[in-house]
Amino acid sequence: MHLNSNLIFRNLAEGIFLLDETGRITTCNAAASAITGYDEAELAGKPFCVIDGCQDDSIIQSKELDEALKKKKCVAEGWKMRKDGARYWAEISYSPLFDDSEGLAGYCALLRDITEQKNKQFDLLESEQRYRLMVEQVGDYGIFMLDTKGRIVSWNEGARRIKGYSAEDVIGKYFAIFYPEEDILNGKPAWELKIARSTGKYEEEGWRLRKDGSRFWANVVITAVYDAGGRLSGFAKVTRDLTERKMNEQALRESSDKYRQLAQELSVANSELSSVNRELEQFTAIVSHDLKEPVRTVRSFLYLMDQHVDQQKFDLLKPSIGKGIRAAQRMHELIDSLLHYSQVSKIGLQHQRLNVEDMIAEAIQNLNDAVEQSRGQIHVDCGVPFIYGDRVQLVQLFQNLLGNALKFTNGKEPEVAVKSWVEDDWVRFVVEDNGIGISPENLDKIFEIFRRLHFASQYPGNGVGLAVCKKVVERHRGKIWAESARGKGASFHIMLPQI
Amino acid sequence: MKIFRLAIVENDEDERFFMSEAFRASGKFEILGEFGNGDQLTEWLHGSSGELPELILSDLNMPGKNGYDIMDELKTTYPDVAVFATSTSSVVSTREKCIRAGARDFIAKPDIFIAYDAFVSELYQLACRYLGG
Repeated sequence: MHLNSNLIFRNLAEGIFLLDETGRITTCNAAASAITGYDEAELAGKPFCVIDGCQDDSIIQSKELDEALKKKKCVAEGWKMRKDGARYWAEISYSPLFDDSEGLAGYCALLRDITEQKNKQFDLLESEQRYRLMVEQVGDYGIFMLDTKGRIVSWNEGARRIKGYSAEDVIGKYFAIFYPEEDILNGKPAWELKIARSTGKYEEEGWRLRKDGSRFWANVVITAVYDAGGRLSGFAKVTRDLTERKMNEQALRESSDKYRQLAQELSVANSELSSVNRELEQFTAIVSHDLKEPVRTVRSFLYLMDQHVDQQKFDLLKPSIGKGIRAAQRMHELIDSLLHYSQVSKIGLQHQRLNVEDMIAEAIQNLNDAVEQSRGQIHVDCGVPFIYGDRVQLVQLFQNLLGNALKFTNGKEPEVAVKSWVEDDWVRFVVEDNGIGISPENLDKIFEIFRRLHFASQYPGNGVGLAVCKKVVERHRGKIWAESARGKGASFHIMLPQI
Repeated sequence: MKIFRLAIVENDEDERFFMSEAFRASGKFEILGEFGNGDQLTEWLHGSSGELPELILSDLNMPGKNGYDIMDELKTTYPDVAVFATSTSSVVSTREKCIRAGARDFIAKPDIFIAYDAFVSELYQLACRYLGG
């Protein structure tokens, strides 16, 4: 058999109908009868609407045919009914047929049963519908879609509740409207999309704005959405309002900060109390020993003089009077020193910017007599121009240290060096001498009040100078200690905070 | 009657004078040495080849090595020598502090240092109690 167009007609899986110019079926193929359930003879002469289940012979109007005539082709889809009443979804393609003289000869209708395909589509639609409804009704999460440019294309109930905007307010708007101004100025919204685009996802917690301008703490996930072809079709954005959690966290942090601060204050108060307690103990010791001693001496000599008088030993009176006077004098000095020492800790501490060279020059000036008498040399080499502290107290500090350096020499001409430099956050001062030095077991003791290493006959003094130094340094939140190598003099080291 | 060998450590010369006068007058003590502070005492102890004192009476406040330094040092170097501390303090805590530091006992000084007789008797009684009459 020759290959001719008849073969197409007979073998095509699609139903082919030839209609006359009024729309009545003139002929059809086997596939057409298989799809519709009518045999060829039943269909011949019937209007084409027979495939819709229409039994009325007179109805032959068809808008599909009109359109096909106008546009040379018309494709339509819809439910059709088989002869046995079963429904099927058909796709029908109409084409007008013209004769050689361009006159309308009739139509060709190509019928395809695409029910199966359509059902899949319906299922998909239905499931999509279900998901959409579900997403739309989720109230705790703001879920919405952005197009590739970041414009909002969908909006759900959660988004409305969280952000306060209705769908009409936001659809089509750029999603930056939810961001605080500083984020917008920093280009954060666009940056987030960029991350989502390059990595598939962007997630963060941060402040966002509601419609009324109030802020809420949001957990945000932006997911890039791709179409079947792998092209970016937009972004899904899920937003949760975690303001309450954030507030709780903040409250917790604040309360723990507060407790930490309280504990710290308590510990400070505690150490202050301990130090006051120690001072009180020290004061008791001072009164019971140091102050009591000269009073007792005066009293003893008065009793002794009383005995001398009773015994008519007038020649013995004079030395006793002298000793009584010296004891009274010593008493006077002790009280003065004690007052001076207690003043150091009581008077309000100044915090002034001080020129270090001026400060040390003032201390040296105050020691003018001692410098001349001892024929001492004081070399000042200050690597630090300024320091912050109390001028009167710091001058006193250096005056006491330099005074000691000039005094404890065993007759040698004193050579004293004052140096300073910066160490980390501290300023370090060193006062170094070539004097008698201090034995290692006494390096700490020398800072105790009224503690003396030598008899007054050898090195006069009352044991307050270094105690004052220590107090001054401690009030400046610093440290002081002494170093000494046998026969090589002593050096006093002071660390003061730079600020 | 037992006579104790005694060393006196007291920085005030006048006080030391009246103190040792009273001890000598009592006849109950033999004074082996009188010192102005702990430095002088330990120097003498280390250099001494003769008899050691049985007890040392030491003032607390002194320049150089003070009473506490003496107790602390002798605890290890001369544990057999009993140290008795004395001072003008009438505060209870002073006695406790001395005993903690290693003293056998503490006796407060008399109100005036020309009246050491009662003090000497008290120390004698304590010495008998601690060291055996």
